[in-house]
Amino acid sequence: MRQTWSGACQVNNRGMSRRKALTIRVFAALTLLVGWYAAAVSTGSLFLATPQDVIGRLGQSVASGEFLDYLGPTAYILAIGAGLGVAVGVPFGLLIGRVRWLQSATEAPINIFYTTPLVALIPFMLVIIGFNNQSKILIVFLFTVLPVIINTAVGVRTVDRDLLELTTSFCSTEAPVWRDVLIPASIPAVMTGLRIGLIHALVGAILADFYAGASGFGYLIILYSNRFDVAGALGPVLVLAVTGTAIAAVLKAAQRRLSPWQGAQI
Amino acid sequence: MSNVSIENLSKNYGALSVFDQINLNVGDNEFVSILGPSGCGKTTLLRIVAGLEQATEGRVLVADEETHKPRPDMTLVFQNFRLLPWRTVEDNVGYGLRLRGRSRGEARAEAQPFIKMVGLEGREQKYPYQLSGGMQQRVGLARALAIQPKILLMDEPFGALDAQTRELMQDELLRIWLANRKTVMFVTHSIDEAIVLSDRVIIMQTNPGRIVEDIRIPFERPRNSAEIRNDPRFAKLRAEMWGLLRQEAIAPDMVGGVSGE
Amino acid sequence: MTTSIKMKTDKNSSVKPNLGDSRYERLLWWAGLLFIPVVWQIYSLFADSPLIVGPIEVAVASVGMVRDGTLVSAAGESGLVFVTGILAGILLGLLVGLLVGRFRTVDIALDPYISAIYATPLVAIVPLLVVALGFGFTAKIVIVMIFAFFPVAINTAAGVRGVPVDLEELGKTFCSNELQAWRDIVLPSSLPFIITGMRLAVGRALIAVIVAEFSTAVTGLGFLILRNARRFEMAESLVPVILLMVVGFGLYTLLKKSEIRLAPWSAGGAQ
Repeated sequence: MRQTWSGACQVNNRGMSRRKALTIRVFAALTLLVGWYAAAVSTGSLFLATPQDVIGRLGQSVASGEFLDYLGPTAYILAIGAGLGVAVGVPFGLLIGRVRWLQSATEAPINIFYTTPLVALIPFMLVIIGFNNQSKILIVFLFTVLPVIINTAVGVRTVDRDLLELTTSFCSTEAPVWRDVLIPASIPAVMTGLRIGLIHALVGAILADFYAGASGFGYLIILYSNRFDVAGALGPVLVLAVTGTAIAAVLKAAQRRLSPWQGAQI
Repeated sequence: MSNVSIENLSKNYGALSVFDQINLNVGDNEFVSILGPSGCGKTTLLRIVAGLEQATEGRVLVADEETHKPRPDMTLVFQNFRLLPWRTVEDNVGYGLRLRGRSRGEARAEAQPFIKMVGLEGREQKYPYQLSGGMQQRVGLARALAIQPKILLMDEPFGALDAQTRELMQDELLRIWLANRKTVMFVTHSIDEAIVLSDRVIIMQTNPGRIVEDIRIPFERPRNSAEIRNDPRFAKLRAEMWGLLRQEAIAPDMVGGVSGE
Repeated sequence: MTTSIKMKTDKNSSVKPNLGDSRYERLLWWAGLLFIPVVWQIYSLFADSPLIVGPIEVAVASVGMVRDGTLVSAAGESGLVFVTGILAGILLGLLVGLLVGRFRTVDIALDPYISAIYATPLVAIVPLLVVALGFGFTAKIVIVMIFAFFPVAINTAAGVRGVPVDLEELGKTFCSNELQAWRDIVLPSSLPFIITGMRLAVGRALIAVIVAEFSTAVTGLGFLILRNARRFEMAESLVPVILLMVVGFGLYTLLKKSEIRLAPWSAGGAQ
């Protein structure tokens, strides 16, 4: 008897109506929420807090101003550290991608630092520079700059050679090549680098808060955790989850707007 | 002055010889096709004239000047169009103009007549991904024409198009060229195309890459491609060229067979 | 009358660079690698703070730490946590990834949450986990496992989900059954994604080990770094860092090479 394919490995949204997808999503969300609640109740709130506890505590924290007190400093170091990381990383990445010998020369140190857990450097940096905002900013900067450089460089390096040849055939000098081809073509890769870099920046900021002093959002988490206040600690975690997702979503949308000719990309 | 002179040109990659001792003269405003099977080096030859590759031996003179690099009075139309995906039709056509210092507005204005010339009026704001292959190649052509070069190099420009579009484009090119005479070097592997378009057809062969024949096309201009195809002389020319190219198809060797048409 | 023209390779030429170029590039690579230690050493000589140590001091310190066994035992402790945790995370990640990629329903249900958690800095839950699970071995393994799980799950799912339609149809045309489809089409096609996931998992797991050890501060390389830094023994605190650099880079290179070996048809990308 002829054996038929059993419908494995379906690819994308074909064949599933939006309503059905929505129903499944809602159902899954409800199941998870119920499961969370049940788990919290059964294991005792020492290990898990109920959803309403978390939201409730979060609300209190915002209302009392405590939330902002701790969020402020972290947002500050994030803005500066990540801002510097991008401001340095993008031009540097563009240069590395374009200039062959620079790429060879910087390849080793960049790859090595990228594959190292930068966390391990934090104690050293703190002792040398001090337990202050400067070291936190430096930490966030380092976390951000590496993925930005790498992705930007890859973007420039993988520009269609045919288009570069086009510029040569029209006797173009270097500056117009950047304007006409290199920069527009690299935008998707730069956006990817920004996305990864900013997520890394968040990680760096939290770690900096953990170890570098008694302020900041990460420190808030530690405070609550040390008090065994699970509901309290999960609040900031939830906020971070939302932030991370928002960053990814915003950058993806931005990428799509800036490069409408790209078609379906990840 | 817009003549091209190729003297004793040879190209090899190490032990692999692409072509050897090529000599060719293209006069002012002559339309010359280079016809040959894959691997005979015709594209490489064109690219060397364009300055995108360097020969191993010999030299190229454009307007009596020895040339190794791309020149502002010479431009290339590519088989794979090579439009800038992030630019509209008018900004693509204006690409070369902006490189010569025009502002965006000036470039667009100057590009307009060329957009009209290739029949894309009304589509100035479209992006390449919104255009068909034939339209994209018209943009490529307009872009090349917009800088008003003296010499136009075309590397199998209609090779990526379907048969009907291809014939349409041939007619377009005939019409445009008639109104804007330039020196044209046109690489193709289609015998029909070469006969319809050119004043002269240069036949190349492989192993070694060389010119075997230089045939003058007797048809008067302006030409009507449909009429020409029915002319008995057309069939004769075609047979003659096919015979020359066919040698290669029978002799099996490293490079691919002959396409002819 | 002919003048011979030397063959030039210009920046945009499609001619391959000759061997001389690649030797030049290797030289540059080594120069780049050595540049930082050299500059670092010079800086440390001129800096007036005794806290700023150079690579030579770190190398000397490392010998001492190997001799007295501290480095090796700490490496062993961290290594155990790392290996156990990452294996658990990878296995779980593969399982979930395969399920999510294969079953459309599971995909729609779980994907948003998995993606959301992936975008969260997981380090934020480490303090909680430590408090909940204690300062011991279990806590650390769980942390590493969680960090390793997500990249593997997501990339595996992407791989399974992203089997080209053309290949799917090929299988159907040849009346392939489920198992054969997995063997011939799905798994090979997903392999590059799975390996990418593992590569990312390695990076994250290393971070997880260190963060876990910082937070529990009892054993391991992380603990060593912390303790020595607090004692202002800077050279000693950098030795484990260098070791981690070597390990991190080594694992990454290993995985890159095996990706090329196992799935030579896939092109390398960023990430």
